[in-house]
Amino acid sequence: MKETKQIYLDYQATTPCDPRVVEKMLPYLSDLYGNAHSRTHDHGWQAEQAVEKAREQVAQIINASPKEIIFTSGATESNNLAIKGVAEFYKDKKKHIITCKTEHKCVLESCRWLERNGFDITYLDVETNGLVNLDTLKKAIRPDTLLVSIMAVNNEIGVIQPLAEIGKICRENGVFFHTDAAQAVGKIPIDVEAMQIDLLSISGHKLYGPKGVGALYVRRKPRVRLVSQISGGGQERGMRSGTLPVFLCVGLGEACAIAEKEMTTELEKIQELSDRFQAKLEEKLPQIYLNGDAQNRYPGNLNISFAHVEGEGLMMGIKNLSVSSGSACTSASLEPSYVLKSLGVEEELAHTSLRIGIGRFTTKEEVDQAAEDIIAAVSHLREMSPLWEMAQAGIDLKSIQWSGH
Amino acid sequence: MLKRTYLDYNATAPILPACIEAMNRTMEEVLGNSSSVHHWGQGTRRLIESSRQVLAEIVNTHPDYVIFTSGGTESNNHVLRGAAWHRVLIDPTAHDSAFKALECPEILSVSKDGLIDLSDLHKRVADFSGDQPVLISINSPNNETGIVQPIEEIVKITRSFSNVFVHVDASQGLGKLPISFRDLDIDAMTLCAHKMGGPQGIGALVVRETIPLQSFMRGGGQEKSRRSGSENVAAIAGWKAALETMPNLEHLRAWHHKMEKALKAASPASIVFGERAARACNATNITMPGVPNHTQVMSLDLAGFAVSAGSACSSGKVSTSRVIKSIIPDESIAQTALRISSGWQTTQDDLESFTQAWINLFNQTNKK
Repeated sequence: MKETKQIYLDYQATTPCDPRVVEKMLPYLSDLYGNAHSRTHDHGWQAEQAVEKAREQVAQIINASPKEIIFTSGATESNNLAIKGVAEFYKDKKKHIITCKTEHKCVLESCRWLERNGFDITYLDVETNGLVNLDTLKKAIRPDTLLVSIMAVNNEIGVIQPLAEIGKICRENGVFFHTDAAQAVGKIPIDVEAMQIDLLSISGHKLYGPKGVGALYVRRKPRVRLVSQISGGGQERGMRSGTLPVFLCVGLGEACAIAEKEMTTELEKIQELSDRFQAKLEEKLPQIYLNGDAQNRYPGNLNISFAHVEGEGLMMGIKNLSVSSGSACTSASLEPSYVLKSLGVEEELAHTSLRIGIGRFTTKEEVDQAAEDIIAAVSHLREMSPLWEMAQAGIDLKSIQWSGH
Repeated sequence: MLKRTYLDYNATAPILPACIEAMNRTMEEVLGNSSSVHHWGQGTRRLIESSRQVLAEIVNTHPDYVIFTSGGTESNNHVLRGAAWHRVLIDPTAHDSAFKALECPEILSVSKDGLIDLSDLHKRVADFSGDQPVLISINSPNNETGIVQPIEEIVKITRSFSNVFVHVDASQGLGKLPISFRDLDIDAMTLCAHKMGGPQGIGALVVRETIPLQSFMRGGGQEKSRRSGSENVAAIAGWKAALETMPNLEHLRAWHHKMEKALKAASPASIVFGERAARACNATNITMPGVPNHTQVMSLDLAGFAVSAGSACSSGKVSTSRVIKSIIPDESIAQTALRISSGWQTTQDDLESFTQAWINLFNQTNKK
């Protein structure tokens, strides 16, 4: 067997930390090690300055004010804080939250926890293209609706929700709008003012920054209030206690600054690679389906189902490609993705889905190699499959009465 | 040029070289989300598990008991807020991250030596009848004074009652004293990397499976569903390297002792908190009578010494320390207390020149 290089195509699970980001972080590991909250000496002041610069960089990429940025340990914490924190603050006034079925687990789990604690949660269905129906959303809003939490870019299928429209509906109805933008910030333009977003979650390691850091945008005008979920020293204006990891904050800030500068050209490059990859597959493989809306999507995320192949066999056949069959958190389990299920993708088809993540460091050669390998694996599996043969012969597989053995 | 001497290790410690190297390597080479099934994900997973193993060995516990968190503050909040505690009894000298985690915990008493009053504790625990869960949360060694609490005796008291759990915030403990989760026979313990030469942004919570804690951060179900969120791999790898190369710091004890003796000789009215109690080897908290601590920290900073008036979190505005006041409830004394904390880079010369600077400041201000 020929020796092949492992190709990384799992940019939604995590992105490599950009070397330029690493370089900016290093001094804060060695010489500039102060505690950013020590106000009594130079070490502390330097650390604080670095954190505040990073806060500005984060604010800038979403058109917010630095005062509206809270550093956290990652998007999971940001989502937990946004949803549970707002709920706890306003629980005596409003007890209804709207989210949708294709959200990331940390949003859904936070909502479920609130449900067990007296909140009413509406989990909106999505259309077969993965997008929220705006009329359904409007109808779901009640006088006691406190918050709508709808993600910006879906982590499994890459579709972009109509944020500005959702923001408008929420503002008109006096409902807070939270968006989990872990997969969106740095990839597509996000503007909290234009989109009327009240709370927004950011992840460091999904935008070529470090793991272990994220941020939550909390609007100041009109003011959104929340109860801190981690209290103590009162850092981050009382909304999130704990010593700020200076080097991680610096890394997140730099990652945002780079992304902001390069977003347009990067998006073009990714679009090109994505189109190229998709075209190659479609040229050689019939009966493959792109999950999620074809237009409203981030091109660096292609979730494709391959009819009549066996999912595990497919993964085994492309071992040199690091791709995922769903979100990383749940990919260790063999359950079909709840996101694809929400789109109405049949279970058999859901089992054959691959998420191909294309990102900043992906090359044309890698994309070509990946397409070639997938085409080979799928064709090979189909050749061996009696189901494929039957489907080719025009038999409707659903009409077959399988006998039990 | 002014020589700068860092004596604020209890706020945060300089990072050990091996740790920087490991983190640098991890960020540059190791790619992958540890939950992903593929090649890269599994490499990351192995790195995390080997770090967990190293940490577990150092604090003498089973790796399954170790949950990685974003730091000491999160670990403390998780224990205090992650269960429906019927009662929470808290150390008055606890760090704010435990002390302020709940709105109204019951506050224990401490002696003039800063030690938990065991008879008061016994009475409070014995008063309680019923089998709803009770938590006792103790800070040891103390971040402001270095005082080490009699954990074994506290555990002994609680063991005769069912459903009483003991949590120790040992954020300041690693590297400064031997820690054995197993032998202490406690139920939960907070650990922190950046106080010992590891990176900021990573900590751990060690928990026995019998403690009725719920997941605190909800989501993808990482850390066996006890703490969701993609693991902070670089920091976890860095912490491992820091733990493996952590030097013994016991030599600091004699230097601190010598410094305290010299300071008290120059200023006999000075109080060293916990002077007669067991203390960690690296911390001194001493008053300079008549000189407010904000004057002390500013003057000493100008002289090149980084010290602090209390915990860093609240030192934003230099106010009097709740911890110090719980030991000696006198505002005027608390106002003059200064924390000097040393660590792996500190030399004997650092503490000697600090001693001189402190005495100079004392003499200057007392001449006026």
